[in-house]
Amino acid sequence: MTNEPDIVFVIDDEESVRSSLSLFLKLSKYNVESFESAENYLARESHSGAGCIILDVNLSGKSGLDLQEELVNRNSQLPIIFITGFGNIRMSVHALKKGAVNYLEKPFEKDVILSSVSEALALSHKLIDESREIQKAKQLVLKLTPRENEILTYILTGLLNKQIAAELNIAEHTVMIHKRHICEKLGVKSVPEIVQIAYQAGIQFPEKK
Amino acid sequence: MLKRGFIVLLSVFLLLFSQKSYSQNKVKNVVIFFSLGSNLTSYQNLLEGFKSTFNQNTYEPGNIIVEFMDIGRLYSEDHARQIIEMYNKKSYETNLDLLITVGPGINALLQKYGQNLLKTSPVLNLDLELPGRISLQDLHVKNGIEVLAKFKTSTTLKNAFSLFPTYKNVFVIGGSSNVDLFFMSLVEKSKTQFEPAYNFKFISGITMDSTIRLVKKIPSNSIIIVPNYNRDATNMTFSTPEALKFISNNALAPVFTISDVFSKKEGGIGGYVFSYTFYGKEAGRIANEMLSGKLPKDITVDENSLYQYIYDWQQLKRWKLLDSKAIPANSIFYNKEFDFFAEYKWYILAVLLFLIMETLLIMYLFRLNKRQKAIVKQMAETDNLYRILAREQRLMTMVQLTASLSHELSQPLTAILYNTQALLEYHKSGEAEPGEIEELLLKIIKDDKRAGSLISSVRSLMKLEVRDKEKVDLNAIIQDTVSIFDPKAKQQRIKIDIHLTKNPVFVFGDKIQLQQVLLNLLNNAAHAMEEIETEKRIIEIDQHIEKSSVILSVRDTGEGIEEEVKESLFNPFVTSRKSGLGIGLAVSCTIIVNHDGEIWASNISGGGAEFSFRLKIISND
Repeated sequence: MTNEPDIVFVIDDEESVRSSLSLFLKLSKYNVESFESAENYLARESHSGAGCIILDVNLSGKSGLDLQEELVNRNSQLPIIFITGFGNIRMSVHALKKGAVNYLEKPFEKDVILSSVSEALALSHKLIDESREIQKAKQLVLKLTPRENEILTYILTGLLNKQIAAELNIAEHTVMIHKRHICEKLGVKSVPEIVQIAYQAGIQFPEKK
Repeated sequence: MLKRGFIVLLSVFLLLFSQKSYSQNKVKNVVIFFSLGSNLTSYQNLLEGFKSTFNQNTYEPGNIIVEFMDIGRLYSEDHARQIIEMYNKKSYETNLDLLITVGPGINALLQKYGQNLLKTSPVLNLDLELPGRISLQDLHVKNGIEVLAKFKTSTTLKNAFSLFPTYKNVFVIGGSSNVDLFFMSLVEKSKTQFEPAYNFKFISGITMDSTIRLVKKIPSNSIIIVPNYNRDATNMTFSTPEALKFISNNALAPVFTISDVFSKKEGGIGGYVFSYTFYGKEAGRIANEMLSGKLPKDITVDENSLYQYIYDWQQLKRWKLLDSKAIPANSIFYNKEFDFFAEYKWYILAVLLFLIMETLLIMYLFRLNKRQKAIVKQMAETDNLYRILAREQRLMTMVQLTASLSHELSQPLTAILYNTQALLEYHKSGEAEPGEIEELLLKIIKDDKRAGSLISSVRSLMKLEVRDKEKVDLNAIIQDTVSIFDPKAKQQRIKIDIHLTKNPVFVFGDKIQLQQVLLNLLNNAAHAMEEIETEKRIIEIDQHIEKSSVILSVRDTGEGIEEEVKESLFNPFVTSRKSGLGIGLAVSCTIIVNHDGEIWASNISGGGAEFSFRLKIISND
């Protein structure tokens, strides 16, 4: 888990736009990296920290939309702000459906780009936090023994201790001991907390019998 | 020599011709003596027939002198003598070429007074075979022909009987004169053939009044024959047609006669009769032959033609005999009802045909007209459609232009905006590096200029049509343009091959605009070769004169035109370059079209593209 700084990536094949926008964002206290093509960006080592991409739609070579698709496939979680010289509704809808946070037509106001960037960065942080929670929950669940996992499944279906004991043909007291061990391993005290961690860890909720 | 021979030949011909016309002018005189009066239908028919054939098919024109002697009622012998004497004299003075004597008694008269006439002329005698008749032989006429009227009464009766097959009573009614009795005797002679099946009664020697009274009593299923009726018992004169009229008007039974004298009067059904008309026709024909110098022994008389089946249409109708099988197909009909359609069948058909054809023609013309209108309409529609399309195209052009412009302009505007924002930040913080402010300002100026040039290029595209043209030398323009382009070519190491004619090639155009076209083509060619090895970079400018136009081609060795843009190459804003606005070829196309020329592009098989345009050459004066 690294603590990289937030980076704003500017990808535009128009040199004048790229340099001016980059300079402005730098002066607005952002870490900025600029690329003249999608290929150049993809060649960079992937950024694991928070950030966002300001992406020109009409790039020469691989277009902005192509890059968006590629990034989705690569599980990149960086929010994208599209910019374009002359866009159309179809293109903007497509881009936004695929998860773009904004779609701006050049020349856009500085307030618009600044608010879009801060929004995007906030989103990026949120996404990173969420993914961290998930990682944590997954690791906790991994500590459980197979028997505990089995009992967790029954807990998730909402069965009482007595019912679980009947199902597994064991003593109710034994179920309670397992439950206490699960709580200890997951670092929680109540059944609702167990359920929340199981959810974050992506455990499939079994259907109630 | 030949000419003289021709003249002689012509004179001989003219001489022969004039002799011929002289003989034609010599009119032959023909005298016809009728023994009885001019009121006789038989004579009228005969004369009519005669005139219809006389002078026909002959080169001997004849002058007919007709004399009705009416000897039956001759007032004095002197009178007759005087008339004949007159002709006797005339025959000496003038040329009497033919004498025709008609009717009983006339030959006897000539025997008495007309010796001169008989001696000098050929004679044609038409007569009845009455007893005691004076023949031409009796008159010692050598050059003469007799055609005697022999009535075939038995055939006449037979036809009448077959018209009314159930009628068995036959009443033969005649006058009292010698001629009347003669005709009666003709019928009487043939009656034996029909007896005893038929019952004949002969009536004559009574007055016309008695005759009419008697006729009224004749039963309707009888047949009445009136052979001839010149006088009744009181010596009152009638004509056969008159008698026929009286009798048939009063009789309930059908009335027949034995000659064609019923022709124009009422009464008498007709049938197989002796025709005076045909008698006259035959006489006319014989007269022609006699006048042309033929001898009697060489002339044949067609006696059969004198007998015809002749009917009175109205009478047939009255007796409901129109469909009778007893009427032969080639019969002649008097008083025939005017049957418009039968009579004018061919005229009507012709008129109908004409009308149909005219109608068809009108229909055809109408359709032609309609089609033409449709074509005109279609052309107008096409024209209209074309205009709409042109407008659409213009509109699309505007949209594309707007799109392209806004895209192209948005870049420098964005750059200017953020460079300015950066400057503002520096201004606030005062933390700018040395030279950085100036750099930003220069960038702003550069971007602004770029935006300005975009606008001016669009403006130039819009301004294209309003330039004055003049006579310019295309070769000079090419040379000038190449010299303008040369530095760029050197920079890119492009070799330029120019093939031009030595003499100037004059076109009517705008020098600057044509330079612009050429420069566009050269720039495109240079751009197309950016990616290839420097040694292979060649631009070839070729000039080709074709009839009254000049074709200029610019060839490069680049990668050729992409298939995708080939179609829309000359449309505005089509570009394969990132930097261009895509209006260069559109401008070039507009300029060439405004010069009444054509511009086109193709790929060269060995690689590279060729852009060509064609302009009209104007003569060197």
